[in-house]
Amino acid sequence: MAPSGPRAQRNTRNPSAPTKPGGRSGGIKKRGAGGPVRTDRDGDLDMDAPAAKGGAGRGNRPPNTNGTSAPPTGPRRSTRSAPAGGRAPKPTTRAADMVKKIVESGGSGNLSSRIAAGRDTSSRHTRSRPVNGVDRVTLVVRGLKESKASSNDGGGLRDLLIFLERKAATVGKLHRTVKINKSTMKGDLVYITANKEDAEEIKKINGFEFASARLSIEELPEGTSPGLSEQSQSLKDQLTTVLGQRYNQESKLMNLSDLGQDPILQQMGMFNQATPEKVFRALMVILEDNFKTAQAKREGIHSVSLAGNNIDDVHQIMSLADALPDLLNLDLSRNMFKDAKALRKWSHRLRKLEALYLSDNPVGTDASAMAEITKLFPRLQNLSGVQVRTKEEVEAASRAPRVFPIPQFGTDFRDLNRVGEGFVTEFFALYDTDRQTLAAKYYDEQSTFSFSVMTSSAHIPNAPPLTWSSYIRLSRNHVRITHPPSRYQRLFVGGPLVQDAWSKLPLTRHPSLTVEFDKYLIDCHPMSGLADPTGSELGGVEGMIITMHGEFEDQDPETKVTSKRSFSRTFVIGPGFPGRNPIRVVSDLLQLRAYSPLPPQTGVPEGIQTSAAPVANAPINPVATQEQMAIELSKQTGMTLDYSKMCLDAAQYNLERALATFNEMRAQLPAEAFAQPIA
Amino acid sequence: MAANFEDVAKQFVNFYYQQFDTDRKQLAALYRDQSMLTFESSAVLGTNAIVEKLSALPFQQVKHQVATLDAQPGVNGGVLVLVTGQLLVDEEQRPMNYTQTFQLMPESGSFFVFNDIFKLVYG
Repeated sequence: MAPSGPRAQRNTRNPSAPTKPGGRSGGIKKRGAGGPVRTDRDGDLDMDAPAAKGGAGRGNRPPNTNGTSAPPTGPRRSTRSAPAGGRAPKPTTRAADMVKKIVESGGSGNLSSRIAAGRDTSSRHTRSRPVNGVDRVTLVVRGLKESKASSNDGGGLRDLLIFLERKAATVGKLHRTVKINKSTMKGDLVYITANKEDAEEIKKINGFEFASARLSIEELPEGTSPGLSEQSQSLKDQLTTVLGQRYNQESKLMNLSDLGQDPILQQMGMFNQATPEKVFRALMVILEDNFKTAQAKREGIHSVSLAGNNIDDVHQIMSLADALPDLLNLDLSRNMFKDAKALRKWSHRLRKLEALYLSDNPVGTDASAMAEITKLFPRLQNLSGVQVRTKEEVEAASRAPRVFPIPQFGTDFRDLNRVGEGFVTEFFALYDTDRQTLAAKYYDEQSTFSFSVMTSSAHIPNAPPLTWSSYIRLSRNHVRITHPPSRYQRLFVGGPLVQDAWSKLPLTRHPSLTVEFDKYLIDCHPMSGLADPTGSELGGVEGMIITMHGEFEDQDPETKVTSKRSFSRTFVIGPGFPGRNPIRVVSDLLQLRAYSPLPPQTGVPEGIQTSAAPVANAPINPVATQEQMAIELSKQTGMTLDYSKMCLDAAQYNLERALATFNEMRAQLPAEAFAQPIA
Repeated sequence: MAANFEDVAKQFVNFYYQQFDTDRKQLAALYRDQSMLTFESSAVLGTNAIVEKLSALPFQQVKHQVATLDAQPGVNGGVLVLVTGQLLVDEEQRPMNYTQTFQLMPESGSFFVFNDIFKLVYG
């Protein structure tokens, strides 16, 4: 991006100033590459780059305005971090601390980047923002100064942090990573902050040797903190002033236009100290910090202007979508957007955006670009002053169920003598309560079980973080597990091994198959040619292949946290050995992933009854049948489940009659009778 | 194809989706007359019917992305494969998630698809 700062102005104001061939340097990218100042525009994400690279880039930095002139090369932090002469430490504030780090991106740039990465949602994650405050613990680490690493770039801080994170994970034999969220070096001490759980692990490294020096690690008593340097506090104050001056409470507008010409930012020399992207991100951090709740933020800012900031791709202002996900109006006019592609990174963000201004951008009013941009934002109605959708259209679209190009059908259960129905019903009841009995009953020497975990899932806003630590050790996803012995170990053959594997998995609760049948999709088909356990049928015997999709809850054995997840499970079942349970599981393949509701069923199966579920022909119980009919009616009419039930009640649970009634009464039904959009 | 059932599964899945995404009519070679395709609960039997069904699906461009793949030795030297992944069709911006179960059967040094059960599981 963008807010171009004094340099860019000079270029535009003084045509004789040497510019690169190719004329106007659009984004900061190009300027950075050819310009006099910075080469580390990506420093914030360049976690593992040698510090020397950043150092070289910073070497050209003009002396900053705060008096503590930085050395021309090398780590800034070590000079800056001198303790503030016995002064009582100021209370730390998360935002100021973060801003300092983002802006400095000094020796421990990798850390600020990590903090930044926590909020940089260009990396897909379901994890929520980094924990703040409550669960954090600050530790003080001694020994870095005495270590050989202290002569490294950045005083060895980065090496120390990496050491601590790795060592804590290995010493604790953890199957997760340990993360240090914050760090400051002050004199001979290093202060690190991590969540409580990780801090406990890091404390175990106390007394370990690091680069020929013994480390001492202890927890800071609550209430004390390393404090902020005066400098970062003043930085925060100044940026807060900038935001304050640019905020109009009455119109709920945060006007961040022409940041490059902002007198305070100029006076602070912000654009000499940090890339515009970082300045912007710092502003967003402070902005977020100024609102106590998401609701306050949503109500406090409806509109943002970023006009005249030289932005050529939204990735330069990604943090806007994170800080203000519910933004309604956005002015991006007078920037450098040249096509719709430059906005694509926001395709799943700013879902509430209603007005977007893009006038005076290179993209112009190109019709196909405008159409594509409209598609990116489902509620967009006003694009640069042109109405692209009406409010009614937006409402209608959000009400309509998502239509899949592939019609979706519900359960198709072609059972043999209700064997499949009996099996799945018993299976899940026992799986939740008594896996040992279940394994003994259905799994013999040749039964096989394995499962795989999809750890990445679509981003679900506000979803609690989901961990897979209880599962991942046994997950047999061939996409990830490629080592043959590891695959072999994760395939469980025979009842005892299956039972053993199950005993390592968290306790679960599946919805009742009889009462909450709508939470499952089950297909069941006869399958011939199974090996006959008795060996007498050469052509094999008849079995069944059952595929199920649904949801369940589990409880983490350690944290006792319950989580909702989705699963798919394929069974092959066949006749059991003589003298044993008549049914045996031949194969059992389980797949687990983050919870997501089953899709709405939009199609009508060909050639079979609409309700081919077992309940239609062989009711499991009357309640389930009624439930199933209500779902079916709701599906066909768009009415809510409650209204569908009322309608069915009146029609004595005759679906046809209920449908006829619906068609007669349709016009008189209140709006609430129909399924409401899910926001 | 490889003898190891896991390699069979992986090679098969790669080949199947590659072929599906480029020209799904060519998938005929993988099915036999006793093969059964269950696509969103509508089941068809035999190569011709299967290819007809696949060709008639209401999209032109399609791209599969496999997220998880697990395989077990199946009956009579077969391989049972469970795949989950994402499917992007035509202009649709949001991928659809699916699961697919394959029952592969050996046949003169190679394998064919005996059962193929496809389901969209969540949006």
